[in-house]
Amino acid sequence: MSDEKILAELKSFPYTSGLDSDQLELFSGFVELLEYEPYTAVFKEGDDGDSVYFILNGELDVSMDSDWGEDIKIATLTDGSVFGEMSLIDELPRSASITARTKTLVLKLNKINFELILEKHPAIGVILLKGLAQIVCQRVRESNSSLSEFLEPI
Amino acid sequence: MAEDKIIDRLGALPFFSGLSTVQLGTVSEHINWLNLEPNTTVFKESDKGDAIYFILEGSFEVVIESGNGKSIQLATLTEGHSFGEMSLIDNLPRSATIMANTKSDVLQLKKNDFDELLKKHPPIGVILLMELTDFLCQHVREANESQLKEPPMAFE
Repeated sequence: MSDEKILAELKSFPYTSGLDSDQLELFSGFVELLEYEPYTAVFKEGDDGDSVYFILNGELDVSMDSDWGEDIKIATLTDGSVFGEMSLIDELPRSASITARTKTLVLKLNKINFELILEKHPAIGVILLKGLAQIVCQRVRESNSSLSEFLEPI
Repeated sequence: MAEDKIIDRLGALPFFSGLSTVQLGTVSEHINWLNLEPNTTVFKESDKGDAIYFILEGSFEVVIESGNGKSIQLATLTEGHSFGEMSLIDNLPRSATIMANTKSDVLQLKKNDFDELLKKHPPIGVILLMELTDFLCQHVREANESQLKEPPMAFE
């Protein structure tokens, strides 16, 4: 995929669409384009990891190990979704495994580049972080509705 | 309330601890210090969310309505806790009601002011958004863990 094509993809991407064309061009210099074959793992639950991924094209499964030994499939992610944002923010191990179902194209932003953006281009940083915060908020609200006995942020 | 007093109290809260003194000064201009009487409702479940609150003193009940119209008391929040975090990020209604149990002091940061801070002072925005997202991540991880502790029960 050419640089122009990546830029075009980012322009329509929900979490980067708030960036203007100069900011998009800067941002695209910080990400890496990766391709995964079907049935390959991007990362496994418990791995150390500090990159966030933006899905350009493809399908990936999210699964978690349960305490009763079963691997539970939680969701399937497709074009326009983001994953890996929690470890980027809190630097804790991966909370789930991610495996490509199909041939998949993703953009990867690692922690070093993320911090460079926040430091050198805070206006871009604010837009990116707002997008990531929205994703995490949505996850909190989903767990609120499935786990009403736990106090969650309100 | 004197502004330097707000700065002192703000700086002691984990949410703002990454800010420099100058940055704390900027943020403090957007903070409201509220004194609340016992039994004051700060906001109601399903209200439109428009601010985050930090408890300086006092205690608050978190209450939700159950399906059959009864109120369920979820938790008590005290000094150092915050509530209303998600209203700064998404525009969805409040997920619970918050009521002061005692005479209480809180710091309030409204969504409008938060958005203005992000726009006019991106370096401050980056620090606050990192704290906020980190806080929310913690809750997702806790919920994930508790969900996978026991096999799902069949309903009878």
